[in-house]
Amino acid sequence: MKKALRCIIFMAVLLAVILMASNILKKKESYYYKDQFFESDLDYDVLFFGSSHMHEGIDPIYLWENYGISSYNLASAGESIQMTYHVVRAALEHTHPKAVIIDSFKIADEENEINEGYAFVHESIDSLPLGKNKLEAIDYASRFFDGGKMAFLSNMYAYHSRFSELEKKDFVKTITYDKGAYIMTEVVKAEAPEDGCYIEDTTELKGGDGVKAYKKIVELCREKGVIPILVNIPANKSNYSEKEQKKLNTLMEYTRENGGCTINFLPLLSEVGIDYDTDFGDSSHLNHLGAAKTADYLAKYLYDELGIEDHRGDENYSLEWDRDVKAWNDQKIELLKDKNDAVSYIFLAEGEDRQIKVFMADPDQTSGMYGLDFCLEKTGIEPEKVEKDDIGGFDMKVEVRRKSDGTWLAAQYFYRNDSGNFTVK
Amino acid sequence: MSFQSLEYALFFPLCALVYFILPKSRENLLKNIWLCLASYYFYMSSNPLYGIFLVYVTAVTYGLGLFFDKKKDGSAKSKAVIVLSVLVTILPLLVFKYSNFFLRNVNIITRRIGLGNFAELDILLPVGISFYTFAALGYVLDVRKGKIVAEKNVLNYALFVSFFPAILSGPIERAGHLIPQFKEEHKFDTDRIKNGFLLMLWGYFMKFVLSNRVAVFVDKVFNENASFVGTYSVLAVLLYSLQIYFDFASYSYMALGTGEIMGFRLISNFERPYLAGSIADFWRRWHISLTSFFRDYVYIPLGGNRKGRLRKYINILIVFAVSGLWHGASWNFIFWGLLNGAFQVIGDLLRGVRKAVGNVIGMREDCFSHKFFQTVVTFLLASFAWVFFRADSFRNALVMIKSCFVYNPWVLFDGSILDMGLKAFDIFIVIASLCIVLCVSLMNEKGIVIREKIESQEIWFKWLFYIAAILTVLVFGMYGPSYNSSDFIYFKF
Repeated sequence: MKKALRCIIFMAVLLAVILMASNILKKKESYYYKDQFFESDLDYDVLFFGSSHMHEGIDPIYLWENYGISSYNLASAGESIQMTYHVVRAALEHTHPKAVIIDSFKIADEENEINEGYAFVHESIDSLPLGKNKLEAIDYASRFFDGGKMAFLSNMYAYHSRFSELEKKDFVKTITYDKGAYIMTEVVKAEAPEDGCYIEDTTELKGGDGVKAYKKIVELCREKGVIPILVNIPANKSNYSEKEQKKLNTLMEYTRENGGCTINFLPLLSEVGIDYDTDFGDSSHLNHLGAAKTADYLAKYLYDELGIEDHRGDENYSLEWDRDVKAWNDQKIELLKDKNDAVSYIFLAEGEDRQIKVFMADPDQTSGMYGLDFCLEKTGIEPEKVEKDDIGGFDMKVEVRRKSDGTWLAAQYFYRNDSGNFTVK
Repeated sequence: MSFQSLEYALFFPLCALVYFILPKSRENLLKNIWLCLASYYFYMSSNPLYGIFLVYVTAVTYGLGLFFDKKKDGSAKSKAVIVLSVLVTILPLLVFKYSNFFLRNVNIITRRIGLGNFAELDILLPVGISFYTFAALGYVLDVRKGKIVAEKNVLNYALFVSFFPAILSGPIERAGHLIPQFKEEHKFDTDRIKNGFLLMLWGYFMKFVLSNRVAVFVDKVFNENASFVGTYSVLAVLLYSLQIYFDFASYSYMALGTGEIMGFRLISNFERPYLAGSIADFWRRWHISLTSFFRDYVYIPLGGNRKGRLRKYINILIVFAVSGLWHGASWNFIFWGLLNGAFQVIGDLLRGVRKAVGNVIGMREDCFSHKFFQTVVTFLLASFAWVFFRADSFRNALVMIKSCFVYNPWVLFDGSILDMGLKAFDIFIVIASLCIVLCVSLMNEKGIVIREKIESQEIWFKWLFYIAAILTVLVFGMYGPSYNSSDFIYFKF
């Protein structure tokens, strides 16, 4: 009896230690974006779901600050629509928005599989509350990866090899206030779709797992009384092949027939004002400028078509939103250290009550870096000429201070590399 | 199913739990039926068809055992009967393991004389077949010699051949040692279970923390031998010696631990082989169950050392050539075996010379430095031989050895070594773990049993030790989806 009791206590202690270690080892990025949603009781007007195009293409903070729309971005990079279904299900079990906005990018039809990496699936489902829905998601995903269900159920099993990359955020819980979005501030020229490439034709869908999952989302929305809105976020030329457009048109037709709404941004690119020279953060994803233009259109659509109201000033929303927006502005300063080029640094540093100063050894060099002239023009910053010695031999220094009291917030030094770009290294 | 799989983490506790819960019955009938069913499930879980070979070997050797038991009067002592018995027993092994090797060599001859090629057979070697075939063969030969009486109870015999802790990679058990244990009563004993668990944990440490980690470097160098030469090759050769030891010994410890938890004492397969002072000593400590099999059933029947020096050397070379062939159906394995045999023959031949030189220079054989020197030389010789074992072909083994002589020691210092798939932290873990294994081995060599030392400590220390050991394997082990898990090397034999 004594031995049995000792054994039980030992097992309990062992389990507690393993759980603690698992918590430290788990990849925080897999929880980073969605945790806040499942931990908050805030009401949302709309929720965004889908792949990186949505994750990087819609900024809930912008929607709140400019339109008073309460939203959360639950999309994540590389997310297949099969996993999106489970994220939508978990979200609708947690809250009751007026609409869910689904990204069309990853609705694969032909392939009955998840064709993205293992880490992407983790980012999609790690944060979901453990229950029937999550277990079903794991059951489906585990068919396509080594390690079976354990690879998604046990953080120790999935993440133990992270022991050599642990940092502060692994030991101290970090709450992020970005409302789920990852908004890029880089400026990269993207390939624009050809004029007149938009077609209205539809096609016969093969009914693969991707399409089945999408139809389940529409069905779920109908059950819950939520409006599904299928959108294709502005993207580069490669996303608008004839085949993809026909598939999208078919799915949009299906959505409308089943009580949903659709927004096809392809024929609206000029109206929205997407500029392929300045509105992308990489070759295929929008940056903050493109995301803002997309959000402007979307907000008006939500006002007009769904009757969503501006909640700024409504205490039920504004108390939490205003606190989070302020916290996010402060948090952006911490994220500056991860920015390696001058353009994305300046754009991220920009914000309310901010003063940005740019010191350059040779201000004439700005035209050498793609997007820098545009960035300085857009932010209204006039670079000040300084001697190289004054900035420690670097070519550029960006200094960020609080406008109201001049408090120093951050600074970064940049070299001008052989391609003319101002980068940290 | 292997010991490192998640399935085994469910299978074994369930198997052991039911084994202890089942009520006592005459000759442990219920418990042995359960173990036999569990063993067949364990073996057939990777491919149900493998069960056919297991049943064949069991049925044939059970029958042969009864046959030889009846012919105790000597009427079945003719060589033809024995050879036929051996051939019938190892028939599946010959077909599945050696037929393509045979055809490849025949094809070399037929191509030379213009007769074209025989198509090779599209067959897959059933896992563990070399191990259980030899265990069953040992039983037949022991009965024939009258060392043991034939096992009449077919259930006990089937369990002996299929016993799941030993079926995939040994140890190659002796019937006289294991079958009587099936008739013993094994009670639930927490101390024994703890001991067994610690043995398994030691095995998992060797496999996940050491072997799998070292394998990343070794595989890269052996697979991309043209790009990584000199220091890389030397390190890969030395590390492969460690990898194969940790890999195989880990399996043996897991098997031993599994058995011990349920009350079975399996043959210890390794006795710190890299502390050996000669190749002959190395083979007394390495894969002991196989070495003793060849000693008892090949070396001694050939005459051993009783028929003169020359015959003894020939017998050693035959035994090691067969041992090489047992490990793999290709010439580099045979060469590896012959090389180990040759090391022993040369060592024996030079014994007098070494003694004379030692006397002249005043060498002290009993001091640490002498023993250390012998151990290092033995390790280097064994490592050299392992190259032929690891390389895909004889030619690649020679390329690997040649590439060891390229001069580039700076790769150890300029960071190049960190581009081989292991981070600095991984290298630190390997070094720290090697220190632990070395300390434990040296203590074991002096007769100190670590488990007993831990057991004699205060409870807080014991718990801290157990939890730290489990966490070490869980956190620092290379397993799971982020690691492309390699199976145990010895499975393929």
